[in-house]
Amino acid sequence: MNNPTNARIAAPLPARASPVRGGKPLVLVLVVATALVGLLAPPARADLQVLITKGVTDPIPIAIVPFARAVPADGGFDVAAVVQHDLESSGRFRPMQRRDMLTTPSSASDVQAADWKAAGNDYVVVGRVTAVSATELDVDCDLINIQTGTRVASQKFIANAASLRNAAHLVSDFVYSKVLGVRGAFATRIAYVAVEGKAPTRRFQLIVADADGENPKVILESLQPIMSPAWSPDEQWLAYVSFENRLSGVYVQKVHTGERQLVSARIGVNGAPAYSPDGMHLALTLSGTNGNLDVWLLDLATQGLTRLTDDPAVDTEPAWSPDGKSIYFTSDRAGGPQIYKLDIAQPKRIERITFGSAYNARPRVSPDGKKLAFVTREGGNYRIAIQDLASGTVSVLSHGALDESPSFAPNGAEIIYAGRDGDVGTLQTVSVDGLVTQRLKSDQGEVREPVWGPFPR
Amino acid sequence: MSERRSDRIVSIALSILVHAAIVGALLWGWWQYRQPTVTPQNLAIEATVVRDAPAVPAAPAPSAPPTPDNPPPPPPTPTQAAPDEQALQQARDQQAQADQAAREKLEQEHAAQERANQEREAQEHAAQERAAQEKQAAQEQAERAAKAEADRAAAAKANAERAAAAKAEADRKAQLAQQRQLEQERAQREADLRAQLASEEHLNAVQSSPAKAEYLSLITARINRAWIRPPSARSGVKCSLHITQIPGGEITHVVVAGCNGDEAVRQSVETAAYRASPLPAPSDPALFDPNIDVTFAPDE
Repeated sequence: MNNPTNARIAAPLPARASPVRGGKPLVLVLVVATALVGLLAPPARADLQVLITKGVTDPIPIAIVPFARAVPADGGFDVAAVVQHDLESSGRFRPMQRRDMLTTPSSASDVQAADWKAAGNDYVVVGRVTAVSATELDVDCDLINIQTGTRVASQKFIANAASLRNAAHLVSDFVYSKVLGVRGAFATRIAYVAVEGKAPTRRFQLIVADADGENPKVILESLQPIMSPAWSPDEQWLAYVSFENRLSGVYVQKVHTGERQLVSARIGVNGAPAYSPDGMHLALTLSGTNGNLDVWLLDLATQGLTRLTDDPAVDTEPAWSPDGKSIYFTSDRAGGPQIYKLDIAQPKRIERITFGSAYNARPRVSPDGKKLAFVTREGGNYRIAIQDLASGTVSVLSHGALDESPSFAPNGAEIIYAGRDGDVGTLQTVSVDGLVTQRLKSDQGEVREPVWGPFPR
Repeated sequence: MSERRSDRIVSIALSILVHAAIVGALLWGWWQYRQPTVTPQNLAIEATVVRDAPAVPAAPAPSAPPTPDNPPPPPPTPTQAAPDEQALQQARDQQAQADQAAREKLEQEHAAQERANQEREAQEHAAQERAAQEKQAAQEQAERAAKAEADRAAAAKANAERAAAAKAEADRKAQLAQQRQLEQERAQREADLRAQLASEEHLNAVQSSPAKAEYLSLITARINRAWIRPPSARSGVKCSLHITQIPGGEITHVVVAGCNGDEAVRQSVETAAYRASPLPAPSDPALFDPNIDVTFAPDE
């Protein structure tokens, strides 16, 4: 709609590397061979029968060997260093230190299994960057299980000098998914709001960065507050609230191009947009003229509005269930803020979800729809909690004083949130089991409302 | 003592007598012995005689006396002895001389005949002798040959008998050995069976004993610690592994028998098996089993 004058739009062109179906995994053959052996000679039933039900969640020892370089086409970029950092930060892996490596093989056939096994590794990742043309780079990697002595899989990624970082994240995803059975989210992006300076010279920035906090790009800058960024399911758009016209307005902006639309600038509050899983609707909070906040449904194609809640209390911060049939939201209809769930088909059917603490707000649903992350007050501190929706069990995951805005990684393994460390705002992640926390970014100003983008399509 | 001294004197005296007698005898003997040494000249003369009338010494007497080939000369007729005295005497002398001559001639002829006969006889005898000798020699040779043949046959027979005996002996020994072996095998089988029974009894005893429970819990703990459970290993996932260990607990082989988890789960359980190596040793060696079935069934 109207292009505001006092906000500057930036439109970075993020470089994406693409995976290639290549290097057919050897493991298929091995699996078939194993199955055949099993059929031909079924081992006799042993006297010793052992049942394992627990296991441990220790980080997996792995060696990310420096990749063979393509100098100078690769611009000196260290792919393996990024992979190592990714895997280590996930808390699921314990990478071997480079200085402890005796050799640096770059292909599976050069790996001396005994050496790496003696160093305590379960897996070894080797790879090489090769220049196939003036601009095109191939990134090949092999994942080897040192304990079983098998090459688990190999993968090729096509990149260029600008997208090598993304290719490195794809390598991380590849290793993560092969070893853990869960898709990695290293090649995804996050969006957050940064606040620099103090009033009256404060500047608000809407920033898009790699999931590890690196490679930040400002896509919107304003002297007025920017709030509540939300990713479209196709990862192409961000919806957000901007006060650039002194009044709140809900915008949707195409991340790559900077193209944007003001989709709601109604009287009163326009806030807390949330894309429906099909990308056709926004759930948002409107106050209307009477100032009573309620949750509404906006059809992006028709601009048609549907009221979802109608209660004199505050109803806000809607979040979609992955199936698109329900919306979780925060309401103080019972006194303090708690989280409720409504059925979009029958909005009157509202169910309270959180109990326990007197303050539970800002819900986000896990990608599998089974867990709810939110902010809870524990003692005098605001922390990130996770609730199992089936059992109602709540675990507090963070340990800060003013932690806010949890957002699930698209693989559901981690939650990103904003915390404060004195005057320093930080972006942090915590694994859903609460065991691994990671600080992504620290700034002298504030970093607020991080939201983890979906998997790229 | 005194008696023995007298005995000694007697024996000395006797000894002297005996010696003297021996010396005397020797001297007499020597004298006697010297006499014949003078006779060889006479023997040479006798030898001439022997040459004139060849003897057939040491030859056995001929069974029949040789018959003269020439009959004796006929007696003189009386008609020829009728001359006068002188003439007669002369005639008689002449007749006598002639008779003498005839007689001598006859004697000579007779002697020659005799010699010839004797020589022939001797030759015949010698021939007979030779023939007899040859015959005897041939007979002896034949006998020897026959004996040799008989000996050979006997030897061959003896050999055959010995061989047969040896074979029989060997057969007997082999049979004995086989019997012994069978007995040993039977004994071994019995021993094995007893040992197996004992071991099974022992095993049965330890199988239900706290030792086995302890061993299993040690292995379980070891593998549990080694299993880095991936997020995809949720409740409902079940993976069965066959692990082969060698004494000392080193895991030598891992087979994923069945797994409904994803590739990550499969990798994790297989890796866990190898990471668990070496497995703990049982307190009772009887509990050691190279084959272990491990089931991974996360309880969420």
